[in-house]
Amino acid sequence: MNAERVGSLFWMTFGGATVYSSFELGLGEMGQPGSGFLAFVAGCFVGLMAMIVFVQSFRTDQVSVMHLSQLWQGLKWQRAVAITIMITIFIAVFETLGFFICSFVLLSSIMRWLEGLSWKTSLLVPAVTIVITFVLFKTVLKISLPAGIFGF
Amino acid sequence: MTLMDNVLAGFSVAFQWHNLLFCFVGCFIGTLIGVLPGLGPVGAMSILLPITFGISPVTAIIMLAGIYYGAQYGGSTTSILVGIPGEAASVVTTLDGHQMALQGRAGPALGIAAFGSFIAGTIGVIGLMVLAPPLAKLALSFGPPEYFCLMLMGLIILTYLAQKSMVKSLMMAGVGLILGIVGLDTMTGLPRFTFGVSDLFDGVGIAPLSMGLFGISEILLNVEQKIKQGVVVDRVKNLLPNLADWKAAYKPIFRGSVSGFFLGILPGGGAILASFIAYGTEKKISKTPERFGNGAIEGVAAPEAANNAAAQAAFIPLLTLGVPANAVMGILLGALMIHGISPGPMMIEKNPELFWGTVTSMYLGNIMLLILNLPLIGLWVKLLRVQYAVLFPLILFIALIGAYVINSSEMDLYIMLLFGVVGYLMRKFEYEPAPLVLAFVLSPILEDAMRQSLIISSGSLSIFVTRPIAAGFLFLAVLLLASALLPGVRSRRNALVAKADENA
Repeated sequence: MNAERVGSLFWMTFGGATVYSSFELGLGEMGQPGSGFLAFVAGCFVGLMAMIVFVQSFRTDQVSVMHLSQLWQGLKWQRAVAITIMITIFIAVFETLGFFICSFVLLSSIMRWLEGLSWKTSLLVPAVTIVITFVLFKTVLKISLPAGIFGF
Repeated sequence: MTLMDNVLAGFSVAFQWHNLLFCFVGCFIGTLIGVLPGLGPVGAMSILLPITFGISPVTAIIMLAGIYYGAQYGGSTTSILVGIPGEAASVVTTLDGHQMALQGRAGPALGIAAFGSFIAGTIGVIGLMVLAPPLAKLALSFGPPEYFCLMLMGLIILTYLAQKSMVKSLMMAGVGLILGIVGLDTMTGLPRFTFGVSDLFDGVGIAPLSMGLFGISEILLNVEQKIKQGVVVDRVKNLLPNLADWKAAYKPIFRGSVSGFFLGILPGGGAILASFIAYGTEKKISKTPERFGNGAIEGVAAPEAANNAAAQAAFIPLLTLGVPANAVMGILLGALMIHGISPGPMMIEKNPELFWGTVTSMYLGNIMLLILNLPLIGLWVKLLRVQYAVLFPLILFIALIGAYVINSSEMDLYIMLLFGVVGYLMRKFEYEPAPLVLAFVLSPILEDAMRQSLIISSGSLSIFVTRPIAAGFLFLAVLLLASALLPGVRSRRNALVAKADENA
């Protein structure tokens, strides 16, 4: 499927949903605009622009006539997915397990497992970075970081 | 107080040891991210925004400003030595700078880039000192309609200069406006688009949003492809340009500085546009245009001067009108607001130490950058050899911790990740994030200005065309939109975009 069409359809839906919600917020009157007034105008505008992109995608002289699959062709997209999953897990357990454990596991696993760096680099670089970050935030900037269930 | 009194008062702030230290830190980080391809000043400033929470507003702005103009200096190093632009404003420097390096003239190329940047930075700071106070006085006569039209014009200029489709950029500006109104309505107290999540009552934070759109998305895009790496020049000799180099470069430096400065003031303009225009101008007026692209020193001097002058000038609309000229200034506006300072016409009077301290620190920063970029060039050459596989996890880690410490909130981390994925997809589908961020930052101010204007005029839209200044801004915006539809302008714009893509 044409990537431009997929993208524009998404934004058309987004614009439409915004316009719908703006009615619920209340448009007010021209002399007293309500909470939904700007959302209504912006939603209509996004929808209109998306419609133009959608119509343009049928023109043959368009520069970008890429298909959806071509956007990821020849790329290691699995690595981007892996990073996203790792960040999600990091966020989910960050407050529970604490700054040190989560940060160390995240950095070491990216370096060792995803990037294939040596064990030495994968353990040493994260360790040094985490200690420096901790000192900077905790001691210099007086900003606390989560200790987690283990208390560190 | 005279200008000189203000400058001296500014220097007394800038010379305080902690301000000097953070100015250096900002310049150092700026050079660092300029040198490293993949992370621009917007991403870096967003990531480091939380670090400024523990320091005073003046010190924070001095550091963040240093990152911005420092990145303009650092970007040239990678462009010249590796042939890959360190950041977007250095794209054109690659054309002649890298050719000079291949011809064994990396030293003079780096030298003229640094000296040109320094001269332009100095001109920019002087221009800022001279122009900002009268402009702020003029801005006092601005009412809500003028502000509304000015912001609208800024957004349209930014989308007009977008590298990809203008329609898509306009659409992204619309999306930014919608995201900017998430949270409690300041007038009615009604929650908007919060979906019952209490963390969203204060709105989406600028830091997680921009970190996601610029920082995380950049990482996701980079990890799925092989990053080109390789330093062409190991040792850089003869950094001081000779007399012939100076003779060829002094006029382009001056022209680049002046044009860059005025393009930098323009809302929606900035360093990228300034460098392209300066390069194009030099090529056009040169008696030997065929030398451009083959190692002409003017092709390094002019764009480097222009992007630095523009970087300094971009502070004018922010500090005098409270309107950010580009996405970087949008982050700075966010930083000022977090520190409880509203930039605008009254800022110079209410917070003179912040304004004059920041401006004069830029001059000190320019001197620091000259030292960082010439005698310490070997350090940056070494840094260019560090593998991306080591660097990106560290950037990611700093972004995660940075986003968390703002409110000690997991929700901010999820927001950052969400916008990271959105930004990744946006770039895949060729939607630019810069108009979205600028519109996001402007959204609350724009909405207030629009509401107040309509209340003043009892709902009549004529208020935007009957007041001369507002009408002028609106006319310019409409003119730009209309000109983009003209076939001749459109094809020229497309050709420019294609050329920029080739060079990037």
